[in-house]
Amino acid sequence: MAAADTNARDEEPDRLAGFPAPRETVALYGHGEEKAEFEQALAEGRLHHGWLISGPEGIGKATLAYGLARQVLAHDRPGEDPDDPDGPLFHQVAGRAHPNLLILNRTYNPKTKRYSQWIGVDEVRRLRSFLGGTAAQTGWRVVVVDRADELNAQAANALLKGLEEPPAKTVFLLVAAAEGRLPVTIRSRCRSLRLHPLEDADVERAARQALDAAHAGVDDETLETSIALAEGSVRRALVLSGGEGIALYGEIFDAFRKLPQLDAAWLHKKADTLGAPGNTEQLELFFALLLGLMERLIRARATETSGMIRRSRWPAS
Amino acid sequence: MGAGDLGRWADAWQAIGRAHDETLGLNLDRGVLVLDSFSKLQSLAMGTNR
Repeated sequence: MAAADTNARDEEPDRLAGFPAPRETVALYGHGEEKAEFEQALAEGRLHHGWLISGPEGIGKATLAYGLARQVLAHDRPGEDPDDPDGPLFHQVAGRAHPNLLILNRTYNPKTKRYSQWIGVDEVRRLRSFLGGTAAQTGWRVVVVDRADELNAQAANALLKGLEEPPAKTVFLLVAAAEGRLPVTIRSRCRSLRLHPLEDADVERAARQALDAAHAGVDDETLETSIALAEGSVRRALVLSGGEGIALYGEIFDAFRKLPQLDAAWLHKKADTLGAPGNTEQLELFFALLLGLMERLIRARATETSGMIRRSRWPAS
Repeated sequence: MGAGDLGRWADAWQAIGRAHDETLGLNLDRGVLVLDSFSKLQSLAMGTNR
């Protein structure tokens, strides 16, 4: 494999350029209960072999998964701090170099210079040698599937075999933003950790840490607006705070305000840009902002309406 | 958005979200998704989707 291909395999397909990947991140904001539930099961020696970590994009699902993977890998190594950023375990996981950790994600195709759209069966077949071979080190083995809702049908079947007959001391951590896309046969074999959008304060702390790590300067006002629009997602706050995220929101707000008039030239330009392959991140952001704007307007109007009803029933004296 | 239209706006919000998920999940035309979404909003604002 050429060096460039190796580097591409070592990256995550949905990594935000310039920011640390979840496997390189120690701090977890929020999700304390879910983390504690897993840690308790591990400590009591009754760890289920399959865990499905689900929730909206950008809230820390993969960060939690890698943190839990480190906990499991450190379990048989007393004295090892799984969250020590200078420790050998952290470096091995961050560098995808731990022999007892297998990470399955969409793969990079050097011919098309793009990541595949799905996790294919060839990627999941790596599971066979990982689980079948002798573990390079004694102890637990961890499989992280990031993201499990990107498995195609064949790959999901191949993963299912591993989940049905897991070797001892093996744990599968499945990360999914769209849990419903996973076959019920996989979901039913996993314990579920459903994560919720973060509080704004947690989004701010996580975003500031990521911006510092990336040496990205963002003024307070931009960051504040980004967090207000991020709906509990650190990823969205970072996307909004950099580049043209807030400007895009301004465009959507303007188009919304002018309805039923539509600027056809603007709309077709947006359709062309967002419809182009490789612009998934922008498309996701566009719809997250549009749906978020609609939701806020509907909620505001509903609150106003119910207030009017209450006032008409129980007028203030 | 009038108070009486709330239900229709909520339906549109849900329909656009569902269309977005389907488009990405089934790899449908994303440009059409953008055009359809605003067409839906325009009809709603004009009160022609009743």
